[in-house]
Amino acid sequence: MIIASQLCKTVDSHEGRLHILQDINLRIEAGEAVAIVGASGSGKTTLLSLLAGLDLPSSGSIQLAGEEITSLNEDQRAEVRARYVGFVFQSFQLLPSLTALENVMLPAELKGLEQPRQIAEQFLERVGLAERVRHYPRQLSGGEQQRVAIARAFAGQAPILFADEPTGNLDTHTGAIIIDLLFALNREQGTTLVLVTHEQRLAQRCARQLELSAGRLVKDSAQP
Amino acid sequence: MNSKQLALTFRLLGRDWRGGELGLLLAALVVAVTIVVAIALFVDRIQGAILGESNQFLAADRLIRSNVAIPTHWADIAQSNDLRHAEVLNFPTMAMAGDQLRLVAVKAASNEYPLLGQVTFLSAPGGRDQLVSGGPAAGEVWVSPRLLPLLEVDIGEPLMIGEVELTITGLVVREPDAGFSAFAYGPRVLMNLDDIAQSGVVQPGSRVQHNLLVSGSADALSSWEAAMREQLRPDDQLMGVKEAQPRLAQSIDRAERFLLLAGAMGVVLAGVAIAIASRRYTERHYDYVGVLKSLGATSNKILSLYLSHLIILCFIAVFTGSILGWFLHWVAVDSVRGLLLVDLPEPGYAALVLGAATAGISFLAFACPALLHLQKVAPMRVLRRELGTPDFNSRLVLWVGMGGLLALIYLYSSSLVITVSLLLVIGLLGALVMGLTWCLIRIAPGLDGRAANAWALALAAIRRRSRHSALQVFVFTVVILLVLVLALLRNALLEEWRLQIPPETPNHFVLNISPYEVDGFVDLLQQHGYEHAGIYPTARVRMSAHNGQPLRRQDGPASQEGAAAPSDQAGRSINITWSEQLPEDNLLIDGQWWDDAEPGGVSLEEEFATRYGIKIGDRLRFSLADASVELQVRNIRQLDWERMRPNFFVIASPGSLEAFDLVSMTSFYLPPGNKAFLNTLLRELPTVSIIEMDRVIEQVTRIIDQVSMAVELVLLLIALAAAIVLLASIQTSMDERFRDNAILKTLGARLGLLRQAMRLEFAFLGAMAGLLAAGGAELVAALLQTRILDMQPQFHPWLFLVGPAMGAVIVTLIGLAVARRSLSATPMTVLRQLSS
Repeated sequence: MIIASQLCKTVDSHEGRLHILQDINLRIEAGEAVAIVGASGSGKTTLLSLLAGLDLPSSGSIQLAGEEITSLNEDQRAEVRARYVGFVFQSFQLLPSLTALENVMLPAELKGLEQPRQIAEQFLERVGLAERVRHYPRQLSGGEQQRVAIARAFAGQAPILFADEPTGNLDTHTGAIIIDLLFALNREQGTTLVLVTHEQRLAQRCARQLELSAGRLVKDSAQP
Repeated sequence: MNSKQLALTFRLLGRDWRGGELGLLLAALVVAVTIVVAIALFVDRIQGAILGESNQFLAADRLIRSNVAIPTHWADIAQSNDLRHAEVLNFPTMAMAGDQLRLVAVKAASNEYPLLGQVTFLSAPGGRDQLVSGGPAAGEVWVSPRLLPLLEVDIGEPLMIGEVELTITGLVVREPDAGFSAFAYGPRVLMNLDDIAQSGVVQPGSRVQHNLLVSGSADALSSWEAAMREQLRPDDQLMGVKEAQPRLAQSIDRAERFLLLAGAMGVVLAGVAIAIASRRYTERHYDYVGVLKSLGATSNKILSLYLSHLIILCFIAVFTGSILGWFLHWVAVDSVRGLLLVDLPEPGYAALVLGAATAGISFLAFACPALLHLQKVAPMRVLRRELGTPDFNSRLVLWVGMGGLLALIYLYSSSLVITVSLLLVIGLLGALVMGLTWCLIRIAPGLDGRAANAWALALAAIRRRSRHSALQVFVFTVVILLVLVLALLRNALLEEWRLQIPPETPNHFVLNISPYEVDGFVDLLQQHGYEHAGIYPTARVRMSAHNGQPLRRQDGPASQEGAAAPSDQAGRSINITWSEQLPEDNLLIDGQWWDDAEPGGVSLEEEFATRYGIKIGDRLRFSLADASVELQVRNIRQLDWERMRPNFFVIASPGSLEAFDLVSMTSFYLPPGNKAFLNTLLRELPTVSIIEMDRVIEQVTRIIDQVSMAVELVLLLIALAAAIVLLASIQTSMDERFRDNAILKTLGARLGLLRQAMRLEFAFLGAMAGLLAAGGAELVAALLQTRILDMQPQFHPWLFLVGPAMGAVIVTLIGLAVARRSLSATPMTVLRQLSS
């Protein structure tokens, strides 16, 4: 489902060339739940952005759902994302001028799915926010906002879900609820889940863990 | 775009509207269209009305005036050019009723007279004024009301003009061209041209002024003028309102230019507002686009989405702005309608097209560059905000914006001079203001914020947002400058108009006062409490030779083609006076004024001297009947034609005119309602002639009132646009203000302290902008006055106090009104919003 080969990412800075990611090779099968872990600055989020087609590597290739996305331009990658990818972000990324319902409807609308409203209402009900559909993000707590973001990620009916530190902005209790919800929906929808976290507890919920250190893949739990 | 996509576009637009930024952008677009439509409609209609009314000074659009008969085929030329025409003769003669005789000013008009305007007529003394579009029929005569007691006649009784007996059928109160008749040396008698032949009063050599009046479309008039200029004789004058009423024409001309300038400045302001609102809209949508892209939206989809939004906004703006502009112009027109004597022309649709074009150009030049920028937002922004912000190509935006402004100002003013000067000034000012502000902000003392007082907070805030603060000061400066420039020009125009006709301007001229009558005349005036404006001894002489040669005009068509200029064998009739002193308001520009007793010298008006190619030292011969004198040109003067007072092209030195029989002239102010005094005057001094200028002065005053009102209303509209720009500009810093205030409140800053700091920040920025604007306004106003309005510039030191004070007060008031929300929001709400 996702195949990365010889993946490198370097950036030029005032202090010279920085190697963010080096020589990453991995393969994630459909339906897998994979956690990318590592210390701050180890390159977790960069790897996620490359796998999801949000950014391009300096070298190497990535196949996403059979599409070689590193040879595609931004618009072609956007089309791939539209078909296959959903996101949950640490900072929620809800649009402040849209209600919870409208935020969740957005991916379905952009994809041109039939009855986006019903889809969105269904997922909002699933995340326990049926009563808050008309609320704006500013009227919701952090946990509620992340639940809206999860509903939005699944409402696009994408087969692959990327989550970047989904509990990073939440307290432990709320974080736990969010994680339960994320995994429950993942099971129900049969999606592939790739999440970035520095929380061991969350990483343990995934069947497979990839550990990064200084931009290198140092451990893959699937390959002891 | 299919129906599903269209529905999505509208849905997203509706949601976007709630964000607030679209409202500001729409408001800016609506203001642009409203200003253009309102000013264009207003100026168009008022120009039409004012020009219509001012043309009534001639009772025609153009006329040819001559001391000799107009060739009959000239009327045919007018007819072949699709122009209406009328013929009018003016002459003084004696009217007789019974055994009473009186010198009267006759106007004999053909049936088509007046071509423009109407004659105010009374069917009986004490009756109601009636407006009629013609004069008396053949065999009838209308007379001035004050002639009835002078001749002891009544309506219905006969009046002899020469050998024809006419019946008095009405009283003429006002003719459209009354103030323009040089022979109004007595009570008016209006008769039909058909009776002239029978009267026998017009003979070869009679002192008659012949007029051919024409009226029609502008195109027809200009082709007729071109044809006629080839045929004019030296003594013929072809005149429009400009030549007939130079003061009034100049006032109207300046007012038109002012309104166009104001309109162009309004468009500039609206353009600035649109650019600011678009920039803010764009910045607020980076996250939005980042999310859309992460969800799979392509650049094209983003572009088409935002373009559709803007196009819909443009349509709404054109529709709303046109309605508002139409409404506003009605309000404005309605307020001046009472002052107008003529009907306003119907509003044209050109103004609406101009409004739509403004929206289109504003959209392309000010909003599109910012929106095109949005599609470049990288989807990575959802993970790392700092990586997803595309570089804003400020230079491109600036050039496109300037191009847009150029197109708009030109579209609006149709004047390359106005367009280029405004753009140059704004460009130069921009560079200057940004540089100066940057320096001032950088070097301002006490910016390190060590002391926790309001000043330290205010200055720290300005410095923290130094780039933004410099931009804000620039916008404030441009706005205040434009308003100050318009206010300065308005004041200068109104002041000059007011000076032209101050209260109690002499409104009656008395001519032909014999030397032995002067003392009696002065006594009579004093007895009735009136004051004369100086007694001038004059004679109407012929200037017959220039350096021993016949007089030649240098500005005729023949001279322009290099052939010999036509000569004027008979010479030119002219009023001459003598004076010891250089008259007040005259400016000596060449030569020396004479000593007390130095006969033989003559002084000429500058344009008059140029017209005949006369220089200092040339000798001019003046003759009257059998007498003649030759005088040497000693100096050249400039006259102030703006003032309503006797002015002379030719002034002789004392003792030079002893060969001629001189009569005196003067002018005095007669209050309205005291017309009976004129009859007393004529009974006491039966040979004097009176020119009644009160009606003309009244008409000029009314037109100037209309123009002043138009100027005021347009200024008000511009002030409204300026307020919106200030509002938009302050809105752009709101996010930062919310965050800063939330953090400061979290750290324990009191609300009063923050409020005071904000007040000081706005006051400081406003005062700085006001100071820069005052300097700029002086420069721009002086440039516009000298280059466009043809006025003398003035220095206004008070502006350097008023400018900063006005800037501080207005920016603080608008700033606090807009930014107050950032103080009232609780820190938690703000921080939560910002984190989400």
